[in-house]
Amino acid sequence: MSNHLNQNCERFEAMIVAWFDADGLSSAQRGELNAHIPTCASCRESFEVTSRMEAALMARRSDVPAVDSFLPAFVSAPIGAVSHPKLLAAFRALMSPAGISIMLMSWTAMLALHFRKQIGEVFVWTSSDRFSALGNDVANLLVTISRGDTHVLTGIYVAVTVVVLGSMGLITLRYVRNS
Amino acid sequence: MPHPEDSELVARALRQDERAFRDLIQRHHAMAYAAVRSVLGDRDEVQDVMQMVYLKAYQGLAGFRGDARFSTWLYQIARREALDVSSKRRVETVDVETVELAAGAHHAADAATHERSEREWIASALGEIDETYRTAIELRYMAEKSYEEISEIMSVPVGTVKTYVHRGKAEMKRILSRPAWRADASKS
Repeated sequence: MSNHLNQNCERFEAMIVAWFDADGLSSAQRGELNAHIPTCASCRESFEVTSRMEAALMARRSDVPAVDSFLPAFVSAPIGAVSHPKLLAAFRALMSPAGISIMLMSWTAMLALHFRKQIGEVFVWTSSDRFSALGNDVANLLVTISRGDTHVLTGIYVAVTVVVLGSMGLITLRYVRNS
Repeated sequence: MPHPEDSELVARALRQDERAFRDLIQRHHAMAYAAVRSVLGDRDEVQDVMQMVYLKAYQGLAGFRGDARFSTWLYQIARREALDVSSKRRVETVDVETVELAAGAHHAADAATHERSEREWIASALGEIDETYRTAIELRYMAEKSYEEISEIMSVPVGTVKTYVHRGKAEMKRILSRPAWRADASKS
């Protein structure tokens, strides 16, 4: 199109694009353009193209889909967890495969420690004495830590059990929610 | 009832007010969508990217310190996610653009080209202009933002936004003035 335009029209060309902006042109410039367009076929055509383009751009607002389709179920998850990044990071670490493995191993170890004598009797073909001795060592360590106080010892057992069971509960809750 | 400020909605969302988060997203949805579309066009990935944008916003809300406006923060997430996807698909993008540019350069007004709707032509022209201009135009028209709002979202002066929009439209007009589009436009 620019091939058809003379130097004067090139000046109007820029004004035509600005015409559709509320504050794109001064009133004097608008008047000048108003006077020119009826006398120039090139600028009339340019104005027509710009007008169609402007209308098509305006119509793009209707291309925006509803927001609901982009807000999946995560919105119903507790934001409270998200509001504490460190807690969230710890929770995520706990929920990772490694975290879950460690928790399961801890739980198994606690059970094995508690039932060490029975386990040793069942698996007589293994070195039950050594197994039992290991259990006794750990038990003795716990006794040392608790300084022989049965309440403290019980507290340690209860705390570990609560952490493990609580974690298992959270894992279950997580998979129920995801499903 | 007056509309609450973004900062108030953020605070409420952090207090587990699910509705507040929805309102916040609803308020800035068109802007985020326009930001993603300005990078990805109308490709299939837009839906996935939008979901990812809101998920990231949800997860990162606690980290939003309020130094910048929420709209600017969300825009940056949207743009980052879109660019991330775009860079992964760059090879395909180059192929598509090469085809479109070649078609435009040769003014190939074949039957298939004539059948394209005006809206498709606009999308095509938008796809050919500079990405910064395109973003400003999408925010202006698709998201219906004022120059001042775009200035805050894009973190550039208002005058620069006006220049982006004007230059972008001038460039689009040059593209749309090709004989193929004019022939098609005169048909419809």
